[in-house]
Amino acid sequence: MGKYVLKRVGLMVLSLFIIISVAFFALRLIPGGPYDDDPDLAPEAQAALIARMNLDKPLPVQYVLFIKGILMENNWGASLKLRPGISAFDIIKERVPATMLLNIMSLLISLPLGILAGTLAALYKSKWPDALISVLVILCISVPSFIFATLLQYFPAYRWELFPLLFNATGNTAARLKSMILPVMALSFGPIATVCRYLRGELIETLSSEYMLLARTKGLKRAQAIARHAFRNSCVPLANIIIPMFTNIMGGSLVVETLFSVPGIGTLIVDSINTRDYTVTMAALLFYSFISVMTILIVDLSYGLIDPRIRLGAKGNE
Amino acid sequence: MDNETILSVNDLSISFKTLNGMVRAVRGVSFDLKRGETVAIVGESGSGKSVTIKAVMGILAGNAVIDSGSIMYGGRDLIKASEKDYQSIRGSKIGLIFQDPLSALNPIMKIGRQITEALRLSDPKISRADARKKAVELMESVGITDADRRFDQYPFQFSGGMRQRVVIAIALARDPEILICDEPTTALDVTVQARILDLINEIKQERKLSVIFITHDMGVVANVADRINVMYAGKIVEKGTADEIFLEPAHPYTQALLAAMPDLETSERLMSIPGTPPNMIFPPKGDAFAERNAHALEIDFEEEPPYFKISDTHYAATWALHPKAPKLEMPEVLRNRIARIKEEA
Repeated sequence: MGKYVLKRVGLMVLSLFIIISVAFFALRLIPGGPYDDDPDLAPEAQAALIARMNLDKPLPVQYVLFIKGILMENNWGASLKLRPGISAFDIIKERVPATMLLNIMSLLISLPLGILAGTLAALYKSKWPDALISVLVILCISVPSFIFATLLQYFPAYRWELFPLLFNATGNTAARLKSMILPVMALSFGPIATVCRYLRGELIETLSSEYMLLARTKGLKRAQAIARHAFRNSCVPLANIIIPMFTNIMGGSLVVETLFSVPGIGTLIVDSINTRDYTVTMAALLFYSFISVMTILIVDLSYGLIDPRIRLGAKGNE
Repeated sequence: MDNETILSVNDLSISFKTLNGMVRAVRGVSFDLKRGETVAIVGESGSGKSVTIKAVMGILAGNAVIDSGSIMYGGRDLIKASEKDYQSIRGSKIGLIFQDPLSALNPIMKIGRQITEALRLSDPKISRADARKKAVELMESVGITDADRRFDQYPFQFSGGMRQRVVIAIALARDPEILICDEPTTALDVTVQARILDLINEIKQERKLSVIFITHDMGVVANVADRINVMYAGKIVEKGTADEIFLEPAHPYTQALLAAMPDLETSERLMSIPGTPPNMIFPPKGDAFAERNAHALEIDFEEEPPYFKISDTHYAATWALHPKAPKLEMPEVLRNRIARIKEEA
């Protein structure tokens, strides 16, 4: 197990390195530079800044300097434009809590609701609850989160004035939580539908399995048999979709954060790309990549906990 | 063997609702199970044998409809029993062994827990240690060696034959009086098959069980059954003691089945049964087997044959037994084999 974890962590570092490298060169393909359109900056000052940030050197040299900075000094470089001189790493650190709060809350809401809806749909397969849930699922999967965000901003927030239009970063905890409800909802419709659809399929398959029949012929009540034998077995493959789901939520939060002006990484990444603040974009990208590979690692490791066939697989059949 | 009937299926008819229409899976099946005996139901896939026993267990699929008939057990009709009544019968009075042990066990639950789960249903207050002890004893009694260690293992760590033993242990856990075996050896290797059959015979003697044995394999039936019901297209076409069915088969389908069964001595070419079973959405009017029967009479296509009595225990539903019908010639393979068996006896 230890060896396996070590191997996985090694691969993780390798993936991160590849992501950074590709992103570094891709970012520079965007036309323009951080100081191009700044009317306050004299051409000499601009040249001096560019020289100080090493932006005048050839791209490969900049790349080597960037990687060296990370490896040798744990230095992510300073922000070029958004907040000049402030370490990009510190800027990210400041923005992480809002984003993580939003994403984790969305995940925490999506999982139980999705599981509940999926279970209902499976138990009432081909009856009206199943049909109703199926329609909702298709709606939630096919409509992107920013449409939900706009609708939520228009109806509950603007027309009915039930919730604040924008995220309230400065108010007290209650006000902050209240202003988070809409963005979290906007982020959660898709994941709820994904979990629901997936669990419904899995559960229907497990419910018609032979071992469910055996559980019934043992004398278990239907509810008992479902709880003990069908439910857990259907949740194993669910771990599979939590990875893409979490990264999906993160992707959706890029836009949703901007719409609700949540001071999170999503807003930061959009702003930094718009202003060509390369160092901040890189740091934000690295944050997203790190979260993604971490989720994959955690999910892979947790398989063993849920499914003994994977945990004991190495020892094989006897 | 006393002659008390403990389970009696009378004129049972079951249909399945499908998009194409009602499938008449079981059409008027009747048989009795007497205490301590083994009754076999033999037939090819789709003949309705598994559906019949699912009805007995009360685990028919949702689209199944019981059209008529009764299943009498313990003085009541199981068809009219509520789900709650069934709860007190399923597992505790009637146990079931499945066709495919590879998929009958929950793949992510320890073997031991799957057995103790059943024990706990009969005795909810049993302690952990006692349940474990009992389960290990059960496992040993069905021939699982090193049971104490294997208690904590998962199904994927067991071979097919061993898994079938676990399934048997689960079926026996609540000490049922009736054991239903639904093709228990079909999914297993031939060598393992024989051992599982021996085991079933052994536990039947030990625990004085009454057994309903479902199979398509005449060779398997010969080893276990006291009485045999031959099923075709949802009907029992012939019933009799094992000797009667094997030595004096009267229905052309029974004869065809026996003639298709390989054995060690037969040197002639085995017969195969031409054609396929009828579409049960539109069951044939007369004898369902007529289409595949080279010696079918005209009336076989017109009218369903009643049961003709051959002896007190032997009945067959075929017009060939009608006094006016021409005498049915048995296939040569079969005639030779029966002669040989009688000679040896």
